[in-house]
Amino acid sequence: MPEAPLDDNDIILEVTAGVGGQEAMLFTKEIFEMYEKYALFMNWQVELYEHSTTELGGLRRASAGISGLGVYRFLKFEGGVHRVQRVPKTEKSGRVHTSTMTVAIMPQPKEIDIVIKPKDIEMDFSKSSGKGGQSVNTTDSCVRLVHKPTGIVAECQTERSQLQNRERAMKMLKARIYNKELEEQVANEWSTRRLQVGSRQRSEKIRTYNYPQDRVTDHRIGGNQSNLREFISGGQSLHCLIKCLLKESWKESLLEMVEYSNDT
Amino acid sequence: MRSPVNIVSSILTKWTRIFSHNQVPEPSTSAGYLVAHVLGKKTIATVSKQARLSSKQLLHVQQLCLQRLQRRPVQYIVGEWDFCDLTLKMKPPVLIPRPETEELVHLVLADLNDRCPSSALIMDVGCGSGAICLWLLKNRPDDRSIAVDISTEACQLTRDNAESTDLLRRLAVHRCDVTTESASTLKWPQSFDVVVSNPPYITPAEMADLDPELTWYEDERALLGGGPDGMDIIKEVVRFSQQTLKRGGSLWLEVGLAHPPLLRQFVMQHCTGLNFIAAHPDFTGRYCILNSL
Repeated sequence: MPEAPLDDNDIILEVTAGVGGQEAMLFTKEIFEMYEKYALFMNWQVELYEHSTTELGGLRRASAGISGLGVYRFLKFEGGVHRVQRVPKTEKSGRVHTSTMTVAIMPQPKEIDIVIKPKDIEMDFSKSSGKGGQSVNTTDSCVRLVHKPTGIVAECQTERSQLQNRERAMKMLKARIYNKELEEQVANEWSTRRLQVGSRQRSEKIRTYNYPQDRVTDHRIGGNQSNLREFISGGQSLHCLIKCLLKESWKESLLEMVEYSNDT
Repeated sequence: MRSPVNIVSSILTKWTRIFSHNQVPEPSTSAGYLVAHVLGKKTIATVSKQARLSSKQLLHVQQLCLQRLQRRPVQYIVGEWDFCDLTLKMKPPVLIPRPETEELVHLVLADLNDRCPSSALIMDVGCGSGAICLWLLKNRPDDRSIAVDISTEACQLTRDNAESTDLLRRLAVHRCDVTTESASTLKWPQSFDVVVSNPPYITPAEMADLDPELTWYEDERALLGGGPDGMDIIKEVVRFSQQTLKRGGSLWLEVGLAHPPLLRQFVMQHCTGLNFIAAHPDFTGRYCILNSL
């Protein structure tokens, strides 16, 4: 299978709870864990950048850097809206609810892909330590970066070391800036492919997880997978679907090439 | 039976409130670290707020939080902390590494990689917990280092940390007061490529304003710079490095914000053989490089 240019890039995975309140946040946590396990399954490295949990055990949003062989290639079609249909734990009447969450897959830029001037970045540390230095003991190592020209923000407080938080925030910031540039480029391209990447996918419903019927449906290639629990454990089952998606995408791009050459 | 008091979110809320009420700085961050520690994690980021603590764990949290109420620094309560990607033991009264020093070691590393591509000899003056020399040794596998500190506890902690990070083979630690006559007449070979130091630099005025976390638990000798401008120890370190630096070697210092121009003047007037290169521009402007001519 031919490789697309970004296929061997590392990525940043971002999950955000969508419609459905607490149930959506629980679902977001489950999907994030699914990808964490998939990363393990694929022998990739995961670095946590953001993890915003709620009082009731759900996940509002999270970001992680995933690095390894072929990360972008395998995860690029996971971006979009994932939908769950089930009876929430808190639901007393046994009614099935539909909740959503969004997955964003952003390739991390290589050194040459992106140039950021240090003076364009505003860095904020914890409010409590003021000027810092020897005269203060601080354990609040949160770092917040703002890219002034674009207004893009990245924040990290998952590590005890301020420098490590800064390095992770910088990776997130670079990926977000890079992806904004990429999406601006792609926005002008027109394609009828079902399998696409980019900001358009952010609002596209790509997959439904239906618990009562024990099935996962990917809306781009159709067909159902059963054994939802196995699927959501991020192992072989998810891997099979991803391979199907890659094969479909390859077929689509071949078709497009053929149509294009027929037209010219 | 429902028992909401033993879930993480309730425990965090409770202790944040108690710390806040008792003017403990960084109340919610402190509570987060202590609960995470009881649950075997470094930070609260990945701990589920719905997780339940056993009665044994609840008691452990209480014990740690009572220590925090007595203004004991979190790093001492937990007994360890991260310096960049190194985890080091922390023990009172040895100074807890500050975040600014994480930046310093990166600058020194770049300098070493530039000037000494193969191997170098590094002197760490006032090594404390060993953060500086150990991080440099870890990132430069062929280097060796000598670390000195006035405090026996600091020397022991540096050795312990060197052992747990498997770097003791390339490090020698000596208890030594660089301000005494004997230090400068000791036969230190003038063979160090780099002398790096984060000396005490706090002024008398600042000392009066320090939080109990520092005055009650950290070694005053690691904080008080000496003299009205807090420069006394800094000047001694500069003098000491004149005996120990190789020709062309560098002295790297982390000092107070007001110190770089004062240091520049001192070097120009009193230190033949040393050249004040720059106060390295960075987000706090407190790093100085001096070059041995």
